[in-house]
Amino acid sequence: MFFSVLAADPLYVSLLLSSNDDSSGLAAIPLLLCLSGFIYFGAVYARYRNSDKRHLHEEETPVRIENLQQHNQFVIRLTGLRNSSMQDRNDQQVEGALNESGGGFAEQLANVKDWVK
Amino acid sequence: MYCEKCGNRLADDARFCDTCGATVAGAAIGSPAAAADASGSSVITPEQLRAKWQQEAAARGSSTATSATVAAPIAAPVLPQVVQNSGSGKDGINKCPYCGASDIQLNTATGQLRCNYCHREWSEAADGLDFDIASLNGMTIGAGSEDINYDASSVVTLKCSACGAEVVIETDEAPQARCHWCRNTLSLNNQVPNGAIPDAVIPFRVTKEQAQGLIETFVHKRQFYAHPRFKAEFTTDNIMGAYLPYMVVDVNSHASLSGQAELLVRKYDRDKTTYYDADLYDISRDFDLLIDDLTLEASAEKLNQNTLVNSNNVINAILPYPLKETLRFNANYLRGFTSEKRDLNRDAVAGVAQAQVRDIARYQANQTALAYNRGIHWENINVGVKGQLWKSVYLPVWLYSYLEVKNNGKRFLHYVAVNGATGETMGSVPIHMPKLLLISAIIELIGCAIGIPLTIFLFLFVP
Repeated sequence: MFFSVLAADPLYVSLLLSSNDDSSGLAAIPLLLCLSGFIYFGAVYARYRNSDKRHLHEEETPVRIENLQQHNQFVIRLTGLRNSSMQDRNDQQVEGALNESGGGFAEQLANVKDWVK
Repeated sequence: MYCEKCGNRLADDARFCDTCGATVAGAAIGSPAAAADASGSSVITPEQLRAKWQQEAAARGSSTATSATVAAPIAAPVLPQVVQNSGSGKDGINKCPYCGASDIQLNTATGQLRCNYCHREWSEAADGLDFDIASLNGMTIGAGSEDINYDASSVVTLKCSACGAEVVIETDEAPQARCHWCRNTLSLNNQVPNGAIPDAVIPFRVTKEQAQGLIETFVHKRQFYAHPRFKAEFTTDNIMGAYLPYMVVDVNSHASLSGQAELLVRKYDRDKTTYYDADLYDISRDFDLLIDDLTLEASAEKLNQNTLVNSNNVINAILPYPLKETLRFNANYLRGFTSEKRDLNRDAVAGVAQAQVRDIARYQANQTALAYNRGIHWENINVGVKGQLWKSVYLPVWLYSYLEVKNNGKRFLHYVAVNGATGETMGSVPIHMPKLLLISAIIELIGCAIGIPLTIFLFLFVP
């Protein structure tokens, strides 16, 4: 578990930086330097173990959509927001990935052999 | 006496040609088969065996050939429409359509079956399961996707049509066996209830030499931190070509999504802080979603992709396959390779299929709302399935495996997998942790040595 968390470190750091309220790149440099060993470890671990790799079913499965109907209704203008992206956005969420360590379907499928009598 | 097929000279009492395997005219009289039939012995033909299994399946109340036209969720317990797709493939001796020889094998270079006697090649497309997705209604399955009878014996006995001998096929290992008397190869091409025979197959197109090259390249790029024992023992001589079982699903569905989205209209700095103004929208998307060949592992072991305990995810990562090139199953495609029997039914993978269909619906809806550059929060995602088609397919994989035994005694099986049709490669290489930790620590120390003074400098001197 420990190594898997570290493997996700570069992604975590990039998300941390991109969602930081203060977008000044100058302030991010010391943070990156102080985490450089962890970032390096995570990057190498991910490159060798590839535990984050999976079939991108949502993108790579051939799909056709027909009869599209769209509805877009303006609600309100939000001002003075401090996050660079929408709070609670879930458009990038993936539910059907099999390889999420300790999450997603991994826990459910750990006992999949029970289905085989 | 000479063989009518290949002209080979035969002994007067021969019942078969020992070159091409053809049955000698008139030889059936007095053959073991004829004797067995005449004596009413207990030899069971493939047709009788299948009828027996079907009776057993009916007794258990499993699927029957009844159509269902109601809309249903993925793999709901409705009676499916079963499509037989065995085509001209017969159980027993498969002969070359050109010369009648039974020595048939896959030519990896062309992906076709080749007669090793006359060297002609052929294949059969699995068009019996090629439906227009928009016309799918209810549950349709290939005969190879029917529920597995876990009590069914893995041993099948066929009667050799050349000499009449009884030949045992151990389906856990391969759907083929050689007749020990006449040396003809007997194949199982029609579905059996133990999951051994799929609806279709994609044959190997990547040769062993090509796969070895791809695996060596993959590993050599990761040599620096590779475990020393792994480096010393690494060789691609023993890679295995394996056909792994998958379920391939076509889905005719309707998706409705609704939620809120934000559009950035202004970005500005005030007191060293960046602020954003955005327009909030209520949005919804409604569309017919036609999914072609959603691919799911049909082996319990390979479906478990918990990366803390295995590296099965790298086999998943070499998907997709060119599923438009699937061919009707013929056991001769498996000759020279290993194969893993399907051990999961549709119900076992239905949850994964449902989640992946929702993911696809979400992704497609996102593509219609790219203007919302601050993101979308989908509150409701509803996918109604009108029709679905399930096929079981064998897909080719070249596998290099390495069992790492760690200092604490724990074992971890690393794979490097090559897609046997496209050559896509992915793998897991054991890491020499002391070396990686040492170098990471050095980098961390250097980073802190620069980063901490820089932080102090910025805090003190930059306004």
